[in-house]
Order: sequence, then C-alpha cells, then structure tokens
Amino acid sequence: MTTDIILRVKNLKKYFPITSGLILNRKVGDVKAVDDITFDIHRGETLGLVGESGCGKSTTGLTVLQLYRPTMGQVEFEGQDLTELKGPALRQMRRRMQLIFQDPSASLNPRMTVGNIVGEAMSTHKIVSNRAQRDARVKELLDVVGLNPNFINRYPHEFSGGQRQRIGIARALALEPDFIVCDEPISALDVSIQAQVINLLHNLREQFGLTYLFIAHDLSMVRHFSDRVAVMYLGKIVELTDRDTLYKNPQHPYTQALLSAVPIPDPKVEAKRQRITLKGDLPSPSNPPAGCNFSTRCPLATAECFQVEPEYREIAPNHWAACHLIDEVD
Amino acid sequence: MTTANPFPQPQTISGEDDFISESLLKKAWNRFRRHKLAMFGLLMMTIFVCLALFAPLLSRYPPNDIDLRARSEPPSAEHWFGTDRTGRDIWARTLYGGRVSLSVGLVAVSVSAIIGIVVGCVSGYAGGWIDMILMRITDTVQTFPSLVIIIVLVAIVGPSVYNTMFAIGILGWPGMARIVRSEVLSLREQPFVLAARCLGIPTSAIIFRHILPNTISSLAVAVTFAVASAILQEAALSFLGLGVQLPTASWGNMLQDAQTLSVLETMPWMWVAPGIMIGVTVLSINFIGDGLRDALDPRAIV
Repeated sequence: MTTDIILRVKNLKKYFPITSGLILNRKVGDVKAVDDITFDIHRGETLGLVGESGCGKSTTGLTVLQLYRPTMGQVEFEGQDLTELKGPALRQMRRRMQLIFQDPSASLNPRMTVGNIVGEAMSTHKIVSNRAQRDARVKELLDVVGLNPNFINRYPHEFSGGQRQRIGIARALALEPDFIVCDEPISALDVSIQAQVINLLHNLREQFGLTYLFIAHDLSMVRHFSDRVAVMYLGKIVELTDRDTLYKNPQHPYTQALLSAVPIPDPKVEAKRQRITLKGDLPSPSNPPAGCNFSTRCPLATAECFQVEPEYREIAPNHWAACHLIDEVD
Repeated sequence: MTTANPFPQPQTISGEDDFISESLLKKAWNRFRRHKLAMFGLLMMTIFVCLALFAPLLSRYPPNDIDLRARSEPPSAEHWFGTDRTGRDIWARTLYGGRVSLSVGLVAVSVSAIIGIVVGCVSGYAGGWIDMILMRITDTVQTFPSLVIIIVLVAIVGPSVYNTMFAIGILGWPGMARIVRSEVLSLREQPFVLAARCLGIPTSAIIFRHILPNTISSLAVAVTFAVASAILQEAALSFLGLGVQLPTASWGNMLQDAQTLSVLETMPWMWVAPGIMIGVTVLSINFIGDGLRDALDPRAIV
C-alpha cells in the first residue's frame, strides 16, 4: 500500500445486550448494531457511510471514536490500537479525532456561552495557557467557520440551526484534529443551509487537511462530498468502493436498489428510471436472518443466500462487497 | 485617508452591532418578576429576613427577659404583641424566633442538599450496581417516618438548635437525591455530554460544568420547598418540646404555649403571631419555588 492509512477498522463489532429481570439482569440477547465490519480510511480522504435508518451508521461512528467501547475488533489510529487505551491515554488521543453531531441544538450545552463551548477543551488539553489566549483562539475559529467572532459571549439559544451547527464545527476544530466523524451533520438543517454547511466542511478539509468519516443517508450529498463510499445494511458493510464506481457500477443488489431510489434531476431520464422496490421491512438487528443479512429482501436471493453468510471480499481492485451472486470482475 | 486600516474587518454573516448578550440569569429574573405570587413571596421573605437580622434594633425588650409584673398582658403600647405567661415580650421573641426558625430551615436544607446532590450525581452518572445500592439506601431512608426518627435522634443526642438542624437535614435528602439522579440520568445521554466526552473533558468536569448547572432549575424548586418543610418540622419538634429549648425563642416553641386550653381560648396574642409567621413564611417560600420553577425552566431558556 502506498497510500497513508490514518484509520484502520478491523472486524469491529458492537453488540448492545438485551437484559431482562429486575434484580439479576439476565442477558437474553444482543442487538447487533455493528456486526463485523472492516474498512480503512486514507489520510485526507472522505469516506461516505450510507444506509437506511437503524443500520448502524451512527453506532459505527461512535464506536470508532471509542465513545462506545467495541464488543470486539480493533480500531487503529495511525497504528495505535484505540481499543486498548483507557483513561488519560485515551483522552490524549481524543485531541486527534473529533465528532460533528446531527442535532446542532442538543449537542450544545444550553447554559454555556459559545466561548466556553468552543474553548473548554483547549483549556483542558492545555493548548492555551490563559483566558485571553483562549478567547483569541476561539474568535479565530468562529471566523473560520463563518460566525461573527464577537458572538463569543452569546448562548446557543440565540443562534439559528445553521449557526449552531457552525458552533459545533468550531468546537470540533478546537483541538486541531486530523480526523472528524460527521454524524449526519446536515440532516437536521434546512436545504438551503445544508449546502452552506457542506461547503464549509469542504473548505475546512482543504484548509486543515482533514480526513472525514461522513455518515449520511442523502445519497446525492454523499456522492458530492465523498471520495469513497461504504454502504451498510443491518450492521454490516455490503459494498465499499470509490464514489464513481459505486454510483455507476453498483454490484451488490442492495446498493443497486438504494441507488435506484435516487431521483434524477432531468424529467426525461427520470421518467425512464427503473426503481427496484424492496419488499418487507428491515429485519431486527437482535435477530438477523441466517445466511446473508439481505436475503429476506433481496430480489435475486438463491437457496445459498438463505444458508451461507457471504464473505466480504475484494471483487475487483479496491472494490469490496459481500454477496454470493457477484462474480469476480477482473 | 492617508493611512490604510491595518486591521481589516473580518467577513461575518451578521452585521449586528450589539454583541452584549443578556445573561441567562437576567432572563430568568425577568420571567420571575412577572410571577405576582412569587414576587409577593420574595417581598415577604425579604421583610422577615430583615426583621430577624435587625431584631435588636427593632425590639424594646430583650427576648428572654422575664418581667413578672407584666405577665400574660394583651397587646399594648408597651408590649406591641403582648407578653407571655412569664412576662417576656412576644414581639421581641417573634423577631428573635425568626432568626432560629429561618436558620434551622437554611442549615437543615443545606445538609440535605449536599448529601442529596452527591448521592444523586454519583448514582445517576455511575449507574449499574452503584446506582442500585445508593437508590436502595435512599428508599430506606425515605420510608423512615421522619418525625418519629427525628424524635428518637433528638432524644438520644439531646435537644438543641444544632441537633434539630442536623436531625432534620440528615433525613431530608432522599427527595433531593432522587430529583438530582433523574435529571442526571437524562442529561448524561444528551449529545452535549457526549461531545464533552469526545473532547476528552474529565468526568468530574463533565459532572460539574455540564450536568449540574442543568439541574439547577429543578434543584432550586426542591430546595425552596425543602426549606418550607424544614421550618415546619422545626416548629413541630419545638411544639413537642424536643426542638429548640427555652428560653431561646423559636416560632415552634412559642406555639407550645398554645397547648394549654386557657391560653388557646383566652390569650390568642401568645400564639397568633408565631403561627402567622410560620404560615406566611412557608407559603411565601412555596410561592418563590413556584416562580423559580417557571423562571428557570430550561425549555423556556432554549
């Protein structure tokens, strides 16, 4: 490999136990939110992560950042296995990787000023040595994200949704991270504001050499913003490849169905668009189907699909998928 | 026009010029002010606290001085509120009794609040078996019939102002702990707490800077109600002769006189004043609590 890998996720699993009983809390099962996923992120790239609601996208993001401790598997950040770190060592690593939230309102403490929200971590990690220095740095960051630096003493409720998201972004940048997980950063915003925030994220990537894990369910936005895209279904990655290949030549039946749902902004082409409609509902992640996860809804499923779990393999250079029906493409 | 501005204005998305933000406290005060009953309560409490503080300046007789020539006298120009059966000035005793009753309320509630906040925070944030054990202890303390336990406690350690404060405080915390715990439980799942964890903020700072300040609204309400109930408990204890001991005056032990039927029927000045003080104080504090609940509601702030 010639490219520089910043983050390597190996066989990551996150199961949430289902317990019952008042006193003994017997474990009666697991919600397999993230079930054995493997991927790499190269320095400076944006990896899009798409999938329907409840497929484990956000859990993946939070588990990568060790905000949920994984049930199994490794997360290597520049060769350092984060799953082995604890306490102060892990806190030290947090400087390098940050999170941007979906809900800009709930992610800001309503009783703290913008200056405190953005600046708190700087003081904690001793990036700044006094209040004046901190305020100067916060103002700089507010300017970077397109907010008036004089807003430093205002409270979150005095801002609009888009402005609040900018505050969240400024906070994520406060520690000068290399890697940022964007957990549906635009899905709670108005369409007109979405473009602004996406452009801001884009500019910041250029300016600070950031690497993003971009979680979203807006396929067009992911296509616009990502270098490579991973598609998740029921806790597993079903297909991962570079953006153009995925959108032009999807191999997995689920990816094909997903992409067929994207409207085309051209009435003539749109009229001829063939939608692949999936039947049934998303199975419960606490009781996934035997064999291929997607077998219950796959229009092409064969007998094998219902019994044998497909291997997640490289079907073409840098094109990974998990499906029995895909032949090796050379 | 000869010198160029060396500090070009940064590009901003808003052109507003006033950057002074109203603090959250000021907004809460504005909302509180609109609450008429709460303002009435605040006024009454201010008056009562001033009366208690400036008692020596406002009374013509020391509260414990016995004047056997003027026993059981009805209100007059000499003794504004009359005298009790040993000739002590009721007006002076009401003012000095306010000192005791109000400080018992404050100290007892401070004890409860400190225990309650610590237990609630640890229980809510730690969760798991720590939460389980702490909450069962809380339940146990809560099921104690508090007045009976306080009577037993005071009987063991002996009645005094400080023992009364301590006994009331040590049994008042379970309610506070439960409120703090439930707030912490919901707050710790908030995205802004997740954000703080992600920024590597230590747990203690998360609790003190991010979680506790957000419990203030419900805590302030709980504290005011607890003050009211502590004053009532002190009155009850003193009425039973187990609280503040004579000759020290407290509103509660002044009511003790009302235990006699003759006093109750023919000498109302002995118990009306402290009785009204207790009633108005408790009512005022409850009104303040109501006002605080509305004023500090975080939903109104956000």
